[in-house]
Amino acid sequence: MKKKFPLLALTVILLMASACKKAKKNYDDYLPKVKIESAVVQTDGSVLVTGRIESEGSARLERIGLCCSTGDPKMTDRQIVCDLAGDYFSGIFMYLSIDSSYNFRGWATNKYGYSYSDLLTLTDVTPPPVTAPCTLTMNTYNTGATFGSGTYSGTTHRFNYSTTYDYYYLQANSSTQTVELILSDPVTQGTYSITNASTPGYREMNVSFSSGSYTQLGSGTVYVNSLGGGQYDLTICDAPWMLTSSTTLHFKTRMTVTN
Amino acid sequence: MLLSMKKLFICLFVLITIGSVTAQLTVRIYNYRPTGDYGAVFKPTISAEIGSMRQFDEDNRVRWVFTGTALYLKPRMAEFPTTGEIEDGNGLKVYPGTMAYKLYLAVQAHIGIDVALYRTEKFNAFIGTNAIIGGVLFHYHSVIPGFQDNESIGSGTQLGVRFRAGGEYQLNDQLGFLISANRSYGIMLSADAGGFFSANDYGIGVSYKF
Repeated sequence: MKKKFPLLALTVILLMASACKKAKKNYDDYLPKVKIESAVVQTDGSVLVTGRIESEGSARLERIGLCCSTGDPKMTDRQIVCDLAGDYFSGIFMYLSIDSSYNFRGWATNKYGYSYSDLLTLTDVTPPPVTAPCTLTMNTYNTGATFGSGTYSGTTHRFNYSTTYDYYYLQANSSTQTVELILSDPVTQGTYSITNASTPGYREMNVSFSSGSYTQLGSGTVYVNSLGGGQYDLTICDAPWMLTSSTTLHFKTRMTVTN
Repeated sequence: MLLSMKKLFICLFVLITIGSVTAQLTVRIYNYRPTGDYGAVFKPTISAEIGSMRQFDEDNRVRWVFTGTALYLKPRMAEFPTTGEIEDGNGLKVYPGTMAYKLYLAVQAHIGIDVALYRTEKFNAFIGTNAIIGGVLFHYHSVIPGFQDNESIGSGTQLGVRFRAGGEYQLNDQLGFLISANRSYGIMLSADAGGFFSANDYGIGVSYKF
C-alpha cells in the first residue's frame, strides 16, 4: 500500500489542479467583445457597416450582428444577423432617411449572454456623388434608331407626388416623346436601380416612354447628382427594352430634375 | 425533493452516529469558490460541513469519511444577460433577455476515503476522494421581452466527486485541528436547470473524539 501512496498523491494533486478554471473577476470577461470599424454610405443610399470581433469571450461565439436606430440602438432595432469572415462581419442598412442621424452598434452572443460594441454615429447618410459611365447632353434623350432622339421642352423637370398611387412621378416631354419616371420617395443623390415594377421599391426607379410597343426589361442604373439649390442631374446611360424577341432598344437620357 | 433531502440528512445522521461510536466528529468551516460555468454565475460563499472520520493510527492509514454540508449560493449579478431566437419566414431574429436567480440552495453528502501519506503521533498529512450526492432547490426568473416570461421553481440532484488534500494536528487524545483544500466536480440533473458544477474550497476545522 505504501508503494502506491506517491502515485495516489500525484493523481489527487493532478485532478485537483486540472480544470481549475477560476471564476473571472468581471462577468463582462465571459462575454464576446465586438467593435464597429466603419459605417460607409453607399451610392445607392444604403450604409455598409463593418465590425470586428475582438474576443469570443469564455465560450464559443453563437451569433453576431448589427443594429441601428436614430436613438440608442438595441439588438432588435433594424437587426442584421451577420456571418463572420475571419474576425470581421458586415451588414447593409437600407431605407435610411437622409434627414436623420443614425447610431450603429455591433452585438454578439455566446452561452453566457450578449454584449454590445460602442456606438458609431453617422450624422449624414446622404449618398456620395456618383459618376455616370456616359456623357450625354443635358435635357436630351435617345431611344435609338427605331424611335429616334430629341430634346425635352423646359429645362427642369419636377417629381410630383401622386396621392392616388402614393408615389412620385415625373413627365418630361418633347415634340414626339413623353418620358415618365416613377419613384417611391423624393429624388436624392445616388444611384437607383431601374425596375419594371409599377410601384418601385427603395432606391428603384420605373422608367418608361410613350412611343411604340415594347417590354421594359427592368435593368440598368440611374445616376443622380446634386446640382445644389434642390436640383439634380439625372443620367440614364442604358435602360434596355425588348422591342421584339431579337431586338433590344437601349434608352439613354439626361435631364435636370427637382422635387 | 424535500423528501429526498430529508432522507439524505437521515442517512448522513445514521452514518455519523454509527461512525461516532469509535470515531471523531469533525466540524469544518470553509470558503466555497465555484469555478468554471458555476463560478460565472455564483459568488464564493462561506459554509460549514459536519461529519465523522476515524483517526489514523499505525495500523490504519486509510479511513472512511462521511460529511454533510449545505450551500446557499448567491448570484454574482442581479440579472444575467440571455438571448432567445425565433426563425420564421422573415429569417432569424435574436432577442435580448435577462435571467435572475432568486434561490440556489444545495445540500450535499460526501462519502469517501482518506489516505495518510505522512503520519506521526501528532500530525497527519492526507489525501482523499469523496463521492458527492446532493439535492438542489432553485428559483429563477427568465425574461425575453416579447416572447418569454418564465418563473421557474424546481429541484435537481447533484452527483459528483471531490478530491481533497489536507493536514491534521492532534492536540490531545480528543481534540484535533485540521486544514484542507478540496476540488469538486459534478453534474446537476434537473429538467429545468441541469448542468455541470465545479468548485474549489479551502477550510479549517476541529475534530473531537468521543
